Amino acid sequence: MSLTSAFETSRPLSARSQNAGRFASPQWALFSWLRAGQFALAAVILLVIQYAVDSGSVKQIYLASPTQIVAAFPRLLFENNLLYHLYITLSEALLGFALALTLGVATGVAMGLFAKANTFFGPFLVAMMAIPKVTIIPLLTLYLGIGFSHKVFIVFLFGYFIFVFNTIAGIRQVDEKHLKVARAFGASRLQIVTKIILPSAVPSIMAAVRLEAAMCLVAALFAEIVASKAGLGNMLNRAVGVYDTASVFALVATITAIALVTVSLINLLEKRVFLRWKYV
Amino acid sequence: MTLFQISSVDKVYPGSPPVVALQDISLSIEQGEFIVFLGPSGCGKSTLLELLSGLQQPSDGQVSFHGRPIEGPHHSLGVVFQDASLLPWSTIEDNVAFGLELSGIGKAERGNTARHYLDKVGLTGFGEKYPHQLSGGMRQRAGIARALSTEPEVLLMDEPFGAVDHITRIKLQEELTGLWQENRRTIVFVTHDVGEAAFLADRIVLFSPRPGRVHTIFDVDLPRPRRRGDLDLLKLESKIYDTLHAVENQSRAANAPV
Repeated sequence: MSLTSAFETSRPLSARSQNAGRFASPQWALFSWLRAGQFALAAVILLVIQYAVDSGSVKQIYLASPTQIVAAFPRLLFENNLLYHLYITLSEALLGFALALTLGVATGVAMGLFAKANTFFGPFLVAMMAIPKVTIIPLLTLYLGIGFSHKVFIVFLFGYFIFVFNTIAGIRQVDEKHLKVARAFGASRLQIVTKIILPSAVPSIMAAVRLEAAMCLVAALFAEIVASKAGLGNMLNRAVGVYDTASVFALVATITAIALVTVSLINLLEKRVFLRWKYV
Repeated sequence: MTLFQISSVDKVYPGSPPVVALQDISLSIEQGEFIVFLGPSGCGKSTLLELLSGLQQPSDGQVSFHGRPIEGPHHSLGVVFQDASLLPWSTIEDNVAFGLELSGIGKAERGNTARHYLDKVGLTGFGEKYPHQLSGGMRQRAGIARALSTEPEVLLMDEPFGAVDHITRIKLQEELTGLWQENRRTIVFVTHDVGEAAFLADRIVLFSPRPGRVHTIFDVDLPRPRRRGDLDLLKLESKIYDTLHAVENQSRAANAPV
């Protein structure tokens, strides 16, 4: 016995750390029990809803059963042109996001680098940011109609200021020591901006990207629900209008799925590209 | 041959009251010499190093390099910073190649040079790592490799080993003297560690604080390689400590309330 334990402790550290993974297996077992429980709970909830709707104890305009929701998908796809509306909503969100990102970061860089511009334009930006965006949507409808550009502009408005202020904050966070290093190597002003200042601001800009990725979809849908001719928000409105609750739930599920995919894409982008160094 | 000539230099930071960081400094630094600026914090030793590196300009007097006044950062000068100051978003290799990248040298060539200097400082195979994956001592080695990569005539080192533990520090000091003896590149080294100064220097310039002035210059003509704990080295240290205490009493008396 004592021999074994002596052998155990005298093993090189590397061998032991290699085995650590195998010893961790009880945790995996625990984990899968956890998963099983979660699946069971989800199944119970779905079954209860199914029963409540099928038995008629909850009216069908309030709630749709899981099978009804599943059955709504082919209808949405083939009769109501779901993919076209999905395409419209995603393009609005994406274009608005891209505009907010490029213009927001550009404004932020300009204001972060030129203190005078910041002092002069800062109050205007803060004032514009303070306007609750939803209150000017009717005005925007007057200016831009209820079509594509109206949505893109609203998505842009929802995102622009966050990019501006996060970029400024990121630039402020630049480490004085890194600037010194660059200057000691005789870096030009442009090189200091591209090699030191912008990379320093990336984590802060990425935080805005993460926030906005979720926000731009919400903004596009919101604008569509208020006034639109097409898009998922428009489909939602129409489904609610004819008390097609199953379709409403199916649309909500679709939008949720898109939101989840977006978040994981952003995570991947952050881990593999922009903040790779933080994850190694 | 004189490399740096510092002639009656003052450095004053504006404010109310203005802060006199350096007052009437005159000093010449010879080619190939290992000179150490020693002193308590606030004595202006780092400021003087920044004047040499061209990162700052003197308020009065002149600092010249090879007889020409220093007007800004210069490719002949390699600076090693306190706590390495590596760029966290770049790999170690890219960090070491940073100076070369700024001067427009192609990716392949600067990669080769970077790897060469990583080998030299004992970081072979760490090029793909990021700074936060390395220990403090390794980061500082990378900082030295970065300064060496542009093949400067002079290394200016600002408390480079201040942030590493004592054992690592001793090892880094030995490695640095080894590197220095290879090609006798001039080194100006700032520290507040008496033992470090005595172990490394050909000449120690002791500064007194507020305002920063040159107090005493010690010539260290002990043979190399030096052995830590060597009696002559300890004698020198003890002499420096005595002077340091004298400096402290002096400045305390000067700043005492009347």
